[in-house]
Amino acid sequence: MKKSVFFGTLATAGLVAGFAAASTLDDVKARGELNCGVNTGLVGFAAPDANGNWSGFDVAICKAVAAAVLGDPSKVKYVPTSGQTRFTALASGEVDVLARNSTWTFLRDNDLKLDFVGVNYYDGQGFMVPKALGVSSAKELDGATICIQTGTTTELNLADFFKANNMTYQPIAIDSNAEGEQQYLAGACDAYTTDASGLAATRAAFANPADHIILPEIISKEPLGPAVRHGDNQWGDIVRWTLNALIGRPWPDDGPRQPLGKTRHSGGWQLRRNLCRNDR
Amino acid sequence: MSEHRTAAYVRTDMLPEKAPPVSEMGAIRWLRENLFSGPLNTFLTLAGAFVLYFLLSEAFPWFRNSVWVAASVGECRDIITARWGEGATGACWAIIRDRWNMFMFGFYPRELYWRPTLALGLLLFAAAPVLFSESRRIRMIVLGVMTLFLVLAFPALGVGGLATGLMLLALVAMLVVAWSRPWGLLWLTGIYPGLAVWLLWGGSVWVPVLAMAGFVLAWAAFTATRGRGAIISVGSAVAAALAWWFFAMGPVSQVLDTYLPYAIDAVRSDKFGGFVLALTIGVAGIVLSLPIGVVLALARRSDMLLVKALAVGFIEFIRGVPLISLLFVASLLLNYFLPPGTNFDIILRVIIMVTLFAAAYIAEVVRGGLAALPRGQYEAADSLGLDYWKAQRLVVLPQALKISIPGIVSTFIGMFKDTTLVVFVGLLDPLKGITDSVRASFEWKGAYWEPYIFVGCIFFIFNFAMSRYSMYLERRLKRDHH
Repeated sequence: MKKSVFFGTLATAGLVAGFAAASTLDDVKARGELNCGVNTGLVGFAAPDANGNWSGFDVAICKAVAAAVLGDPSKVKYVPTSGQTRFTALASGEVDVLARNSTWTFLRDNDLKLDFVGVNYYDGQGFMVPKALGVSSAKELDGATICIQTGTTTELNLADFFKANNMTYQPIAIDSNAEGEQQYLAGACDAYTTDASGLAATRAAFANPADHIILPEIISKEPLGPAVRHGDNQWGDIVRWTLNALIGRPWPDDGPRQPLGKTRHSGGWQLRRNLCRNDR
Repeated sequence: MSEHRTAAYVRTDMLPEKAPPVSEMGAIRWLRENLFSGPLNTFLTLAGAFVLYFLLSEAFPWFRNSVWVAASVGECRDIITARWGEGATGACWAIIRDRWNMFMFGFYPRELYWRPTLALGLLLFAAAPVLFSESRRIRMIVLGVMTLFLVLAFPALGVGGLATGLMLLALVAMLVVAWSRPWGLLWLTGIYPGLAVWLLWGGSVWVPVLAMAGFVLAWAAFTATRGRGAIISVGSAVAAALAWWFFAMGPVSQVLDTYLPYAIDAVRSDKFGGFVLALTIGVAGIVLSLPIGVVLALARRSDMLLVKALAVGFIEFIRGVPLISLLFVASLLLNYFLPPGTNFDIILRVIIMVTLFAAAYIAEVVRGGLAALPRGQYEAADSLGLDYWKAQRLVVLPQALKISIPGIVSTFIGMFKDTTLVVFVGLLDPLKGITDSVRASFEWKGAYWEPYIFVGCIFFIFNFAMSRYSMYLERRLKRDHH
């Protein structure tokens, strides 16, 4: 008897939670503030300055959504999320939008009950090697030691790529990008692999960037984008069209005059090119 | 002595003392005995010297070439190249200098930095009656240094001269009290939890005041029902406090806020970071986990089946899961169960989990102390006619806790270091959270060792102080030196 009351209460609480979470827009308006999940710190995507003001590619989405919903881009509470907590933070309602350089994958979209509203950055996994190694293509990396972050999709991509090309490699497991830089510079590995954006930022921070090259092969497709909870279409539409407005130029009410693809190129690809340029 | 004949060949006068052989004195003897006393030790000494030389020769130039003032890692490198030539490497401490505030305060509002600083300073004043009650000299040194620190820090944090002067007056008054009576500052110890919470989070003064009033109420209920047995009086105390906190406190604080409003700027938990966060969680965890741990240890040794079973279950469960999983539960899973829209502060959740975690370990350490006491002590207490609580309070626990000091302090030190794990639930701890977000700016990307070394040094200072204090406490409580 007691037990069933307890479980009944739990179930009711769950239902209430489900209903109440159905209108994120109302919650945000009532709160007067957007809870935006961001990276704890990733060059170019989200980083606080010395005064605690966040800026970056993903942060811009938070600001834009806040501006669209609340009329003030500063009404954002940035919730730094780690790679492990990001999706649960979104699902549990701790954040309204997750703009945390997350790859849009089948499993995340379906199993995790998220909705990716679009792509704000097309990333892909690449390789960086010292120029002195004399390698100009990833296909020449047979037998190389490669620094790679554990527990990421990059690990699987790497294995697939080497298997498909009948090559062998020796992985050196690292934990974070900072550690990867350190190991790579110390010569612990011949090549460092991660998303091309990360490679470019890492290389730019080296003492002698010219001594290192990013190989032309991009071995995976990593469409990164903001995500919202599945099932709240109204909120999803708001975030999606805020994103679209950021990517393209402002569209008139009667819809885009130019084909969608071309419009996206005008903004998104230019940004990507700027961030990925090797000589930065 | 009778006269005795001496043969001609026996020397009659003493030889003057000679210095011992060179190999048996001074540094050479010390070296021979300590470093080269056999083939194995000689080999180990040489190997150790080589390792030491290698480490120093690698690290020393890096420290010598330190750059303290620069705007970015690139600028640091340029300065090092200009000063020490091409290819030289050096530490870029400018990153600490530039982001000092972030390492210390996280995103705490800059104009309010004095509040956590004052809370830290007052912590030692509040702890003095408990920690330094036996030695006036140590008490005055600790509190004097703290006063000096606050007086120097306040102008640097932008506090006006008048406010600093007033605070100095208050601190000096407290110093006088602490000088004259060891327990003179006990009132501060009592109000400090509320005061610290108010200083750190701000907001209406009535919330901490009324929250503290809950403890007073609990005490009143406890004394009112004193003669009726431990369970009834403890139960009524808990019931009174809970009823106050959950039902009466909200309306009362609203009324008081309406008629006697007094509030300072509120600071939200997401603004906390760096050492303010680590110390908030660490100190709260330490202060709360010790009493809970002691109660759990007693419960585990209790004869009452239910109490014992609950204690064993709690301790074994908490010790059986990693702290990170508890933190994940606190930050993520709880949100599913709480009613939507509940704002259960994330730092409070983390403090609760860290406290429970440390309490389970403390309980086992204290249980070790209890088990180490000879049975005669328990029997002696019983034979004096003391009831259970009096026997524990007057005879058993003082001895058991003394035995457990090293274990308790190691648990505290471990817990304080574990506060850095909060990075996994998205709080910006000084070691990885702040460091990563500082490194995520274009200026400081590429600095690797400097933040780690800096944060490690600060942690070392705190932990070493705790360790030395525990050694002092052990010496002070030593009773077997007749």
